[in-house]
Amino acid sequence: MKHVILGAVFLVVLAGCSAQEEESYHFVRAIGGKGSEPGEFREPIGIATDHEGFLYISDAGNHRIQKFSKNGEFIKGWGKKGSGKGELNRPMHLTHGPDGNLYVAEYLNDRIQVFDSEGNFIRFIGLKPDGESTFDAPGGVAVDSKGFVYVADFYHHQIQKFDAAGKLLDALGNPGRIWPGNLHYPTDVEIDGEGNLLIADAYNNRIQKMTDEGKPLAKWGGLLGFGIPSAFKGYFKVATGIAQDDEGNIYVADFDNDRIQKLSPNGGVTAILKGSGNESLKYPTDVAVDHEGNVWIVDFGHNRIVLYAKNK
Amino acid sequence: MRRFIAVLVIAILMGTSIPRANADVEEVILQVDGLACPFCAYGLEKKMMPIKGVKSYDVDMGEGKVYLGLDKDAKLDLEAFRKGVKEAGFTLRDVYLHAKGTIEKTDAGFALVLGPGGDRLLLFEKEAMGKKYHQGDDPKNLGLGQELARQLEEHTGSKKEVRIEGPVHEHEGLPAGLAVEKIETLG
Repeated sequence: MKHVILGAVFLVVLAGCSAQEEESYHFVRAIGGKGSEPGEFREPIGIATDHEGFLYISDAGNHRIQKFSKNGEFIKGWGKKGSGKGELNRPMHLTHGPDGNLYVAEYLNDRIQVFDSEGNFIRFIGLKPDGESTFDAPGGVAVDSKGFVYVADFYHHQIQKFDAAGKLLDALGNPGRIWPGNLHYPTDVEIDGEGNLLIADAYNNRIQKMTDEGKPLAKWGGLLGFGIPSAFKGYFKVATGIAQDDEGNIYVADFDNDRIQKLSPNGGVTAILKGSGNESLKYPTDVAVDHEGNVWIVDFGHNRIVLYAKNK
Repeated sequence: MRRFIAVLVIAILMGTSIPRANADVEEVILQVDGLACPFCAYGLEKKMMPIKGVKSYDVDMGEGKVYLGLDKDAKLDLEAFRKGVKEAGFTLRDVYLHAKGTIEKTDAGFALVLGPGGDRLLLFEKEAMGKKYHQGDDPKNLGLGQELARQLEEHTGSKKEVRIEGPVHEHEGLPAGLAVEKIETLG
């Protein structure tokens, strides 16, 4: 009986590691470097692109957002440490919404701050009329095509859902480990092409897919998506950031493995972006993919942004 | 009962049960297990900064060390630090202080007096960390080597300030104190 069980486990592991044609990417360039001057970074965390290919980077150590062209040229920056309108305190993941605005998760101000693409303040989300917050360390934010806003709440271990007017509707997922729908320190959330949520379930070392109502659909991260931390292909060690390309492929910032893993829409690993020497990644926190399929990575440990492109 | 009385007497002599020292504690360094990523590091910052008296926060994620600066007249409340670290999801391994004051000899042993009328931190040899205090032990002899005792004796009674660095040291049955890792005469 023991042999049967062992055999079954072995087959499951094999299935998890099923051979899939691996794609290859090459390093194109890096922008930034450690500092506080325009175009430099201190502990960059999040990255977002807009429809025109502009890049927006949350520069958490400098408490600001920086905007770059798709060629990596610095355009402008905004924000300084504080809690007023236009001020930031540890901006983390950010997203470009369908309304053309930029949504920024502010970890230490417990709010989402919305800017237009030029950095003008629009509004806050997550603050009650009395000024209290519904969050405890919001790490990531996503906006779906209907304008619903989803926020990865690190210390509440849930995804909070708001309507387009900013009214809290629901909390999705439950604090916990292993089982579908359980979250443990989630850090990022994205919307896939079908309107479902992709969640960086960071300290469960996995990503999860849920409906916009919170029904678990899939989980990826090693054997059965239980989230056992490992450096093996398909496993993660602290999955901090997530992105999707136009073809439905999923890119995961595998922080403690110093790599990005690219997954097909069904969860099989199709590429690992890691680099070597000066082109290597160190503690990547986030990833974004532009409409040309270029992969922009927040190389947190090197205080820079790195561009990788697919080999033809 | 005898032990309780002994502890009570020592606590009264020391004037405190847990160090709630004033701003002569120049820096607090917390050794924290599990600080793996910026979400953790900033999460801990979020829990520590609201603590009264904390004015600055810096972190070395690789080393798992958190550096807290205190306001000039702030009280140091170790319990608040412990609570903050726990709420942030981590384990507090050690608390390390940079503190300055004068040396005083009390019935409980040598102590660092933190400013005029300030609290006292009982001083221990670093090697005494982890040793148990047994009923009837003379706390004066608890892990205080000859060389350190000589140095502290020299400073006793003088008005010269010293800076002492070392981990907070808690013996069961004794008030918390400081294990002396480095001692430096000021002025």
